[in-house]
Parts: sequence; C-alpha cells; structure tokens
Amino acid sequence: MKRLLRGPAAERMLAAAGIDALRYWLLLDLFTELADRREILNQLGRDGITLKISSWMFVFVGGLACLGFLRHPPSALTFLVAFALITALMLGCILISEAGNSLVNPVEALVLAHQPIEGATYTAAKLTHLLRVVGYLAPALNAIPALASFWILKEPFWYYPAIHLAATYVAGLLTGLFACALFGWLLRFFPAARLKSVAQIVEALPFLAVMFAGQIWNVTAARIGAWMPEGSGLRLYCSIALPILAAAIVLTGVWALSGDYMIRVSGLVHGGGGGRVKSRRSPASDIVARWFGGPPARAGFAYTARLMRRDWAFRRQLIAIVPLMISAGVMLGQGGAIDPFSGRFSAVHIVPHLFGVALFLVAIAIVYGGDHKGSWVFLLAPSGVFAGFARGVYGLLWFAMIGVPHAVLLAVLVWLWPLSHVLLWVVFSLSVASLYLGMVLRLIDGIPFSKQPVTSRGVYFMGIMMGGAVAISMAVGLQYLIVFRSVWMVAAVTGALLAAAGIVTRASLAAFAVAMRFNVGLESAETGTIYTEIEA
Amino acid sequence: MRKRRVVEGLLEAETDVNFGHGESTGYNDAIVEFDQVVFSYGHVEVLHEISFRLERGQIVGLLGPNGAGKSTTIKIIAGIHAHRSGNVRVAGLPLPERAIDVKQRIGYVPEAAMLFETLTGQEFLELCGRLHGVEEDTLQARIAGILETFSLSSDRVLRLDAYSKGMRQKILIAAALLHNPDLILLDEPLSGLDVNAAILVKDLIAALAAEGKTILYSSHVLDVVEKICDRVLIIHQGRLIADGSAEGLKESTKQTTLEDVFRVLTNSANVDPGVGRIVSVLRS
Repeated sequence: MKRLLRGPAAERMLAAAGIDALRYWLLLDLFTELADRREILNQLGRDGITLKISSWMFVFVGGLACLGFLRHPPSALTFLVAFALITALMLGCILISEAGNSLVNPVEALVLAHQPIEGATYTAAKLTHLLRVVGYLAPALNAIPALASFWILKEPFWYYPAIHLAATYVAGLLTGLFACALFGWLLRFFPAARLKSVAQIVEALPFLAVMFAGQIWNVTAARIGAWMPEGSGLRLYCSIALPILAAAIVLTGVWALSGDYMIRVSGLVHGGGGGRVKSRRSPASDIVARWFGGPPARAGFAYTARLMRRDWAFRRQLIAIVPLMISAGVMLGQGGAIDPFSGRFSAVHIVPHLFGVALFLVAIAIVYGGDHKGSWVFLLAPSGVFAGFARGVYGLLWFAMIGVPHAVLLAVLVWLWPLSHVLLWVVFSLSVASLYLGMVLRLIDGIPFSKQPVTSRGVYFMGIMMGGAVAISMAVGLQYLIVFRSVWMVAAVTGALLAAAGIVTRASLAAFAVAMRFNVGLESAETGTIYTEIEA
Repeated sequence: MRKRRVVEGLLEAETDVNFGHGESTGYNDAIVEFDQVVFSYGHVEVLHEISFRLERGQIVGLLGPNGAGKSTTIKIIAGIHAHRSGNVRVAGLPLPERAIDVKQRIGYVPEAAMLFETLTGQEFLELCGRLHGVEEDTLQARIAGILETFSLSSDRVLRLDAYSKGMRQKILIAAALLHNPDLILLDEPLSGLDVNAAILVKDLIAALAAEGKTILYSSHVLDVVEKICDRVLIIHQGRLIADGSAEGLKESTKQTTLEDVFRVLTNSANVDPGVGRIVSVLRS
C-alpha cells in the first residue's frame, strides 16, 4: 500500500505542485516517528495517544448532538448541513490552535533550517501531518449521526451514511486548509516579533465563535439577505462567486505560507529576540519580600510575574480564559446594577466563582512553559528556599488574579450599590476567591514553567471540571437562597471563609513547596541531556 | 606537513591587510561573496554593510566579541537568514533566491546543538544524508566511517537525549560532512569536545582545506584560530574591522599574538577595571 501511494504517479502529482517527493516522504516519516516517540507533546497532531482519547470524546459529543434532532426529525439536507457546521466549528477550535502552534512556533523546523528543503515541501509535509487530526476526529464526531440517520431523518435512505461521512470529512479538510491559510496570511502581514501575540488572539476566535454562535448566526443571517443584490440572476452569480473567492483566499494563503517558510523559521522561533523588554521592580514584590519570605519569595513573585506575561506556551494554554472573561464582563454588564442583597438573582452571585475557574485553569497550566529547559537553575537552589519561593508564587497569583480585579470591581460597583453592600460583597468575593486559590495551589505540580506542555493532560482534568461545575452551581444556589438574605449572615460566612482560606492556604503552600522539591529531585534523576551533564 | 604547505601557500598569495574598509580583497576564485550586506532583527540592525569574499580552499577564522554578528553572518551564508540589503552569493548562486541549491553545497555546524532528541545518532545522520540526496550505500559507508573515527560506533543506536554535549557536537560535525560539501561553516565546532576529539577536528579541517574545501570557522579560542586559519575576519558591533592573515594583522598592529590584536581592535585592551569591579561588587 505504502509503495503504491509513494509510486511514480504520486511523485508526478507532487512535483506538479512544486513539492519534492523524496524529501516530502522523508519529512512525513520523520514527523510520524517523532509523534510515535512523543518527542514534542504540545501538539495534538503529533501526539497519537491524545488524538485517540479525543476521538472517543468526539464520538460521545456526536451522539449527544444527535439527541437534539430526535423530537423534530430533520430533512437529510438540514441534518447534513448542521453536522458539517458542527464539524467545521469543533475542528476549527482545534486546528486553528494546532496550526498556530505548529507553524508560528516551528521548533523542529529550526533543526532542519539549513537542510536543502523547499518551503513548499516542508509545509506540505507539515500540513499532511496536521490533517491527521481531521482523519481521526471528523469520522469520530460523525460516526453515530451517520448511523443514527436511519432513525432520525424524516425520509432516510440507505446510502445517506456514506454521503454524511464524506461531506463532513471534506468540511473538516476545508477547515484545516483554512486554518493553515489563515496563518499563511498572518506570516505575510505581521512581523515575526508580533506574530506570536497575533496568533494567540486568532486562536481565541473560534472559542468566541462557539460561545456566541447563536448571536453571530442571528446577525449574519439577517444581514446576508440585505447584502445580497436584488434579482435572482445576480444572486446566482454571487452564490457562485463567493465560494470561488473563498477558495482563492485559502489557496493563496497556503501558497503564502509555503514560499520562503524555511528562511523565516529562525525569525519565527526567536520572535522578538531583538526587542528590549522593560523590567522594573514591582512595589508589590517589595511587600512580598518584606512580609512573606525574603529573597526567595521575591524570586517566586518576580519570576512568575515575568514568565506569565512572556511565556508563549503558557499564554496560549490560557486562551480558554478569554471567552470566560468576556462572558463575565457581559454578565456583569447585564446584571451588575442588581444589588445582591435585593433578593433578586443576578450574575453577581456567580462572579466570585468565576475567579475560582480562572485560578483553576492557571494552576493546571502554570507548570508548563516554552523554555522549560531553563529550569535547571532550580537544581542548584538549596531545598530550604522552596517554601519562600512558593509564598512568592502565591503572592503573585493573589495580587494579580484576586487583588487587582477586586480593586477594579470595588471602584465600579461603588457607583451602583450602597457602600456597605459593596464592601461586604467585595470582601465576601475576596474570601471565596482566596479559598479557591488555596485549594488550586495543590494542583500546581512542580516549579512554574518547568515542564514541557502536554496536550493530553486536559483530558485528565475533565472529571474535576465537571465535578467543579456541579459544586459551583450548588454554592451559587446556597448563596442566593440563604446567605445573601441578611447582612449578618454574609458577614458570618465571610469570616468563616477567610478562616478556611487561611488554613487551606497554609497546608497547600507546604504541599506546593514539597511538590517543587520533589520535581527538582525527579529532574536531576532523569536521563535528559542537561541533567546528565550536571551529574557527571 | 600538508596543512603547513597549504597555509604557507595561501599566506604568500595574500598580500594586503584590510582594516574595516569593507572592500573585497581582489580574489578571483570566490565561493562566498558578501557585498554591502545589511541584516536586522526586527528594527535592530546587527550587520552594517559588511563586505568580504572567501576563496576556495581557504580556512578563514571569523572572530568578534559576543553579539558582534558572527553567527548571523554564518546563518546568512547558510541560507537560514535573509539579509535586508546588499548582495550575497555562494558558489555564484544568489541568496536568498537560490537558498536550496546553496544548502546542497554547504555543511553547517550550528552554535547550539539543536537535534531531534528521540532519534538515535545513526537515524539522525541517515535523515541528514537522505535530505541531501546521498545514495544509500555511500551514505551508510560514510556514516560508519565518520562514527568510527569519532569513537561513536557503539553509541550509534542510543537516542540523542542520552548523548553528552561532546557526543552531540560530534554528531553535528558528522552531519555537516556527510554530503561532502564544498563550503563548511563551523560555529564554535570545538565546543564540548574532549582534547583528542578537538585535535582530530583541527586536523580534519586542515585536511578538508587541502582537498579544496573552504572553511569558515567562527570561534572565541584565538590560539586555535591563529594556528589553523589562513585568514582572519574580525567583526565588531556589526562591522568588519579587520581582514587579513594572522601574521599580517599582528605586523600591522605591532602585536605579538592574535589575542592582543583582538584586544586592540575591539577596544577591550584593558579589562582590569571590569575585573576589579566584579570583585568589589561580590565583596559588597
């Protein structure tokens, strides 16, 4: 089979597209080998195990989506279009992120930069490898809907499953090509120093599209009719011209990507390497150093603060927070005027728990960083400093993710509610968020930014996230129905929460310091290059 | 002996010493032509109108303080970076337009050992050789020969993440030579090598030059450069400030060693105040 696929006919086809067949197959084999050996773990397309786990999750999601059609059996066309859109949207979320990581941070391409490889050949091999994701996920998402069509469709027919699978697969492929073309255009129009930041914004867009799909559809559906010209002939031309235009944009985007990609690689990896970074000592770090553990605490504070801002791998892990923050802003905008003591339910009751969700996401991501190899410096640190370092990291997280946002909330809400209510709510929210921070500290499994990102770990936190959603719903219910019925009740609960936060944080900080020491020990025992040298 | 003959011959041919005028030295058989080349990282210009030519069979040392632009110069010749203005030709081929053809003709040992850590030494070399289109039988013979010379035969099946720094450096040097390139670019090639391996590489460089290969050798180890290079280029703050034989440079600057020449030309003649400052800071 392999020999047939790589025969003279395929070679001619590749050559016609400007691709060097010999090097294309070599690179494809290399990427497969690296994926099998799990060399680079932060790309789904290269991590076979994650891909298989995700496939099973997509099978489940596909089954769930089918349930929505049971009550009102759709026509075959409606059913097909709906699932093509679901496939495009879900794969868009994954593939745009994948393409961004793979094409904007091409670490492996740097190893090959001085080899005689055409940009077109490299990007073709890369895209083929990335599109493995479509090969797994598109059929997985559509397997149950295709089979269930016999029971769901108004007028089922025997060959519908084949059409469904083929059409949704094509939708997935087009989404993949669109993702790559998008980055082709970005590479053309943005300088290397800005590209990674721009890529992160672009990666967040599909999540926002999923979140606000309903509103986007309502607006565009209403406007498309108005935009289209009068007269059926002109409308027909537009219907033909628009897909051709879209295809041209995608093709030129992919072409733009492949042109001189291997010459741009070095600049891409080092991004803003030539730029100067403003660095000044934060007054908050002085406070942390003064009260929480001296130079090690300052080190933990400053190190985490700087890398949280600059580490590309960390920042892109937190893309999921962007829609969360936007939805929190929208909720506050809609319900912020309602005093939580008024007896009416509003989004304000949920806000303290959104801090918990954000802190949870940061806690599970913060151990992983783009420059994890630099963590060897911690091997030389005396084990006693980790307690102070842990307090510094805690101080930064509390200051940046709880203190500052609550100060902003206080400044805004003071104009909307009575002062006593604002103060009480802000202290209550602070205590809830602090308790959450105390709890999620336990999830920080080592020194911040000291490990290579692993895509598959997200799957393991699904259980915690589902359980957490249930617990938060119950907590919000209790808050609304019992706590916020009296000022004294809120004051009492706030006091209890603050005490709990103190106890939990103290225990978690000790565990966090142990986790860091433990991971340093593990690192020194690894057979990784740099650690072996130090031991030798 | 053969190396000495080659070096003496080239020194006789080289009559002029050029201090920072950025003009070509009038060689005819150039394999690298750098003409008024400017390169920037973003808005930061790191090479300012540099010009020089490298002739076939020469061993040329590329010197300069940290951040002077040595590695950037080598990367431009290797087709990894595209310069902003000026002209670069390697073996008569313009860069970056003919980068693929140039990459076929060069061997490059990068400054930082970037490798695929999960491949074995053998697999990595096979990959590099095949990407250069070396015939399989020839490739296997060359890999076996080079690995044996570098005493890596028994480690060829180990993954590269188990290699020491010196072993990784040997693999990089082997990968640069597998396709028998005309131009060899070495960026700190002796970094991490033990004494025997370093001697081996130095002899190898001389032997390759005797075969007609051109070698551009970037290093901070000045006595090695002085011993093995026919010609020395010194870059400082993105400008070519000297170009000539080590003897010629010493004579022109009235210094006795290349290290002294380097100190004078890069304004680092008196480092004592800096050393004293560090010691006093540590005492505080």
